Amino acid sequence: MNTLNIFRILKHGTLNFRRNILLSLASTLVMVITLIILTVIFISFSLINNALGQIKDKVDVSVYFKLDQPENRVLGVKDDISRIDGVTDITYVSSQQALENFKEKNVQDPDLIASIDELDQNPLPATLQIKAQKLDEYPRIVENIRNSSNMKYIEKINYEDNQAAIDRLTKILRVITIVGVTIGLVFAIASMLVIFNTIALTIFNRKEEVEIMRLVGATNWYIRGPFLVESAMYSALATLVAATLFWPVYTKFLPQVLTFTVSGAADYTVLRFPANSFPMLAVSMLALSFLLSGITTLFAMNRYLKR
Amino acid sequence: MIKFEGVVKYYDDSKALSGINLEIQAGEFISLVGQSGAGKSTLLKLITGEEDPDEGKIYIDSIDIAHVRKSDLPFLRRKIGMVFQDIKLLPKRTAHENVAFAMEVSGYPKSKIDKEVPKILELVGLHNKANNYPNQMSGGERQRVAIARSMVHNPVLILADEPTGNLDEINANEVIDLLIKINKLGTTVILATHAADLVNKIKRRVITIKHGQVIIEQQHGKYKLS
Repeated sequence: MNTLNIFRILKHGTLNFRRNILLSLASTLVMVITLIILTVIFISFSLINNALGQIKDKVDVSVYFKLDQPENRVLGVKDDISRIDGVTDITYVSSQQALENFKEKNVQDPDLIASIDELDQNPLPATLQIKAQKLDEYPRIVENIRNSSNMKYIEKINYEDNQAAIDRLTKILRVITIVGVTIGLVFAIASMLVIFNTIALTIFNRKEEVEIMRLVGATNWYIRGPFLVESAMYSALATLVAATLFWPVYTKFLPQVLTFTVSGAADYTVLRFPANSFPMLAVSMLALSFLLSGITTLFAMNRYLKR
Repeated sequence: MIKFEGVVKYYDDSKALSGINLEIQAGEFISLVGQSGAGKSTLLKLITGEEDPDEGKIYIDSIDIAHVRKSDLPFLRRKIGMVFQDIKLLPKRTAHENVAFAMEVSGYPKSKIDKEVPKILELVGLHNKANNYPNQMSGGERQRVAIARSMVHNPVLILADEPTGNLDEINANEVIDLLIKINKLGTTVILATHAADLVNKIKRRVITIKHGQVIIEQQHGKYKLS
């Protein structure tokens, strides 16, 4: 296709947009609503995912050693555990450290500290705090430790205490993922159907023009061109409107929610791409609306472009 | 130039054309006559590739039209001018713009369009109505704009499907005279019509179709269907 044809396609597309301004605005409005719905779903999903991610980060398994275990033995066990698949982090807290932490925590209660001091022996055991990459890896890791020869040095693994919480969280996450993806898909399909109808109406409105173009020998791409330009125009306009509406959400609302749900502004970037970047969101909206309207336009035009 | 070999066409279960064998030479003026529903329009649609035959073959200049790729059909259509009973002009464009539109969509540069369109409008006798919109012209004038539009690619063939169907006698005669004039300039014309008086006036080859079959062929014929 030569430059002259591309120029003419752009000219006709722009002219058509202006000539059918009411229908064009209706299509733009449908696209704006679609973009708003999909973006709201996306932001909600990101926020929930983000919050759950943080709760997940707080989950760990603590291994309590029997009293009087020498430090090198505890560190040996630590080495063994670190070799188990899925373990991402192990923190060693010595019994001395545990005692200091305890005293620090209960500094307001001198009687309690005095009673501890009266004991001959430090009553707090050494512990290992284990973190796994995924929630569902904990049962296997715990099982692995239980079946090892190290179990004879271990007093208790507190996994059962966390198990119920971990299981519940895993289920919630799974449900949210399924529900989020389903709702997103349903809305995307519904929006495509609405856009399809709008475009089919636009084409029906101009079916005579399409027919004349065919009979005078215009190629199918030349006929599709102006309609694609037109749909690209209202996609761009819809993105502009939707992005403008989301600007205050991004600059005012989201940082506040994030500071509130997250333990500090530094964690803002925890929210995944592209929700943490407004330009990225705008570009994604534009790409999505181009894609939705482009596919539906081509689809809607096919019946008018038979042989 | 055009050859039909045992062409059969069905629409659902009904047979629109059955066993058509025809040969049309370059430069001929053919009157294709028959009552409504006889199969005239179907025959024209098969020539433009708008419909495919269910049986048989159609050749245009030795090219089997069934084997023309979908993407090449527009280029075939540029060799064939089409004129219809319902005229099919764009109402929001002037006579000049309607004719120019056909050249634009085929990628002609503006300089050529500006040079050619007035010449074609002059050929059809409408150079003084170039800036008129379709609703500011008579039916005959509108049909002449449509004929002008069909001429822009310098076609080798013009297919006119009941072009006088909606016109009064004077306008119909003007349109037929124009088609005869174009034919004399070397373009093959196939005129599908059921207007007996016009066919009798033309006195050229007449092909009569009934129930999807060619029933009469005459070199200098008259309309014989009653």
